Amino acid sequence: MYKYDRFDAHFVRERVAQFRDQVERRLEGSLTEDEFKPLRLQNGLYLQLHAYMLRIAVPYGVLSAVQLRQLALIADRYDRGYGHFTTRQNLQFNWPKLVDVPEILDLLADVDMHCIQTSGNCIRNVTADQFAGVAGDEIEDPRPVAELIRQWSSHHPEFSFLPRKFKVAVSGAAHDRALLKAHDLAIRIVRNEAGEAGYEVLVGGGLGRTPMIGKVVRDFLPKGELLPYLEAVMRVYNAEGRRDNKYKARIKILVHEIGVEAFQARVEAELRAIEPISPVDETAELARIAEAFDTIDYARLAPRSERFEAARARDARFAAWAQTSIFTHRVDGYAAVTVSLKPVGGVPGDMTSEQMRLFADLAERFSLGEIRVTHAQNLVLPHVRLDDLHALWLELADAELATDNVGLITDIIACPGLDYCALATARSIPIAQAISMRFGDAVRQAEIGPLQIKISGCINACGHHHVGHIGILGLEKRGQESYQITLGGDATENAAIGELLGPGVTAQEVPDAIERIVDHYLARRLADEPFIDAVRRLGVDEFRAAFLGTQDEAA
Amino acid sequence: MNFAPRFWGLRMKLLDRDGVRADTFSRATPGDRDLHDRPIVPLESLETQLSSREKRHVGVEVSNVASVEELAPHFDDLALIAIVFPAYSDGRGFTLARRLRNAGFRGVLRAVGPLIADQFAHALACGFDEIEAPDAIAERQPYEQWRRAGASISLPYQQGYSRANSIFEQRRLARRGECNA
Amino acid sequence: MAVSTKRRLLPVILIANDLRSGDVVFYGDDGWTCDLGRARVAQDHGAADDLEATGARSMARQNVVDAYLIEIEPTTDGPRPRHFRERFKTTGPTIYPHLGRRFGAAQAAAAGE
Repeated sequence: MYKYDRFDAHFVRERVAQFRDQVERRLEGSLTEDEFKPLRLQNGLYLQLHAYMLRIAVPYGVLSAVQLRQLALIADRYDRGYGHFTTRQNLQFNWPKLVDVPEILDLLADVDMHCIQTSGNCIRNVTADQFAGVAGDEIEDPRPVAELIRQWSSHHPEFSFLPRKFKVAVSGAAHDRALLKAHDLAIRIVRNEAGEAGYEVLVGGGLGRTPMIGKVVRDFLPKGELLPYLEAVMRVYNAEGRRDNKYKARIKILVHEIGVEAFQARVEAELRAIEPISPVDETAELARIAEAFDTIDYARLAPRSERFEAARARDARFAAWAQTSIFTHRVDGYAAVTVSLKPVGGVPGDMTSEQMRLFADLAERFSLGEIRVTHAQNLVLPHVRLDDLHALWLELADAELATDNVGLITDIIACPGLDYCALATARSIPIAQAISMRFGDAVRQAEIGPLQIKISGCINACGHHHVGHIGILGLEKRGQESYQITLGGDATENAAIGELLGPGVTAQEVPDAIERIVDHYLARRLADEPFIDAVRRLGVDEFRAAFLGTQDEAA
Repeated sequence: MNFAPRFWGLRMKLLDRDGVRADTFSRATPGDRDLHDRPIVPLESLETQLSSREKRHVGVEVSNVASVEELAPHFDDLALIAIVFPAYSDGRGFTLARRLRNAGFRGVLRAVGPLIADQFAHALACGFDEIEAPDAIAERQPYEQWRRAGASISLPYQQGYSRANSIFEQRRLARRGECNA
Repeated sequence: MAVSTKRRLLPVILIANDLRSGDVVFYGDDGWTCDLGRARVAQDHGAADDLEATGARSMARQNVVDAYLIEIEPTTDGPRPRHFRERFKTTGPTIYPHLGRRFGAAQAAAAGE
């Protein structure tokens, strides 16, 4: 966890007072709704179908037990007893009252949390790999850079009225777990030939109406030179991003329309024109931030835990859970544990306040008080001793948080959809629930293996359906909800956009359609070939035939 | 290009760090017979204005996508550059102001348009000296709101935005203090 | 979805969100109400125009936000929105039937309103 210094703490308090003042001026009419809207959005407050929605920032997905307990308190006192984790590692409350939000922000500030810029046409929450700092394949922990960018972008005087939202992601690992290529700007920590760490910068990724994959605009940016470079990129975007059409206003469109080379040239020109009065001593500031992250006192443990191995051998359910939930930690004797928030038939990503408090206790007992939020609406306990895994699992099972489906077909990502969102064209959650129940059997799920289904309730693609192995997009056809299914998307470094299989189907038809696709995979896969590999090998066309029901399956 | 047509005829208020002030500049259009002590002219009239009159305080009004290259040759002769904000949500004027300051313009920068009090801090930080907003907004948002909104973040993070101090700078000074201790 | 005058299918009611609480409200004879059954139904374009103007005034007075007309069909249980989106808006999230509309109504009853 990054520990706020007095400047960070004071800034967040002033921000709360600023918003309190804005709310008062809205209520008395000094600010029209039109004028107030960007102000409330930049404090995370949306208007949904039934109520306001408050999106709380979980910077680069890192949360403490203390913070989670405070979220539980807020859920009980100001909301309806639950929260929802999102695909950008944030938490949403769905029923806050506008008049209560300043108090909620105060309670958040008490635990070094905020809702700053989680919405609006500004730089949003910087997300990162949920295993940052504990992954073995990491060149460097990306969280200090993410924190530096968070601070630099907070209440930025020049970049708070952009053409559109701007999403940033950071990763320090070889394997991309942060969906870098789907972000407006992404940073990958890399090493050059001399072995020095620096940044590969990608620009112009994004899902939504016109999904695009980010392009590398800088192979290697030396450490210490990031902020001027970011400023240059943002200045080009702010000046030249389209403002005539909401669906063409992201930076991906600008890069696409002028070309990567022209974009790079404009950024370099802007860089040359930047003459800060006194530049930020970025290297020193980054070092200060890195030091302000808690040092974890890992115990010196053996890489192999006899207690864990014995439990695995005697308890098949535990073994199955361990299979899906454990991520190899860079420190011997530890593991990062992914906890599924996708109970079979449940609402993906939701957590009751009671579960939050329970989980906070577990985090303190088993994970040194730290929690992570993934991009798949799940949680992680990042520092669990292998010795403790079985004891942890028993407690999770008691709390109904031990569903052994991480990465499997029922670990579905779904946006809130038309059950909540004013922008949606169809519901997404009931589709997730129906698929989950159809495939709920643990044995069957394990047999199918890793398969990512992602569901969006509209073209804005907050459910990331474009990069789902199977993607589902909810639209409207003839006055009814209608679902288009795509295949072959990929959210990793092998980023790919799924292909449409055919015309939309009704909600009732979706589970059968998924079955046809899965059955075809099972019939045609080689040995343990994962779903996405089989799709790539066989090609989408034969799956399309299976989906449409026009292919005869060999017995 | 028309001369800020949407504000033409609208009553506007001028305000800066110290309060609401009288405007010592006035807009002059081609063919305007009045003698303007401090004229603000549209960009296409600028060359004529500068070449035909003796030295006086000349201002130019430009759109928020004006080119710095076109204005830079006139920096020394320009007392004021007014940048039009067609809507408060259109933040291009902030970048133009910043680019003009980076390029060396030291005269008065004025933001013209329906900015709201909550953008005062942004405008001042980006290099604007004053805001010219429609009366309708100034009435709903009296100057006290601008002053308060402008001061709502006492110490921002960003370095080098027309402000003496920033959180990054404070930390840097603290480090130097430690080294000298 | 809001409908333009030319393509408006009558009858309609006026729906909005309360500014302070965010609750879904309807314009009835006694003003804004959480009870769909008490919404004023406009049977002709004149009445619909009046409702729309009421919405605009309410928004200007900082009472509600996002006020717009929705098409309904009258039923014995009261007005039923024609479009599924607006139906969800009146019932609350379909996945948590105990929340939303009925939750609000239960709360209001408990508060003796």
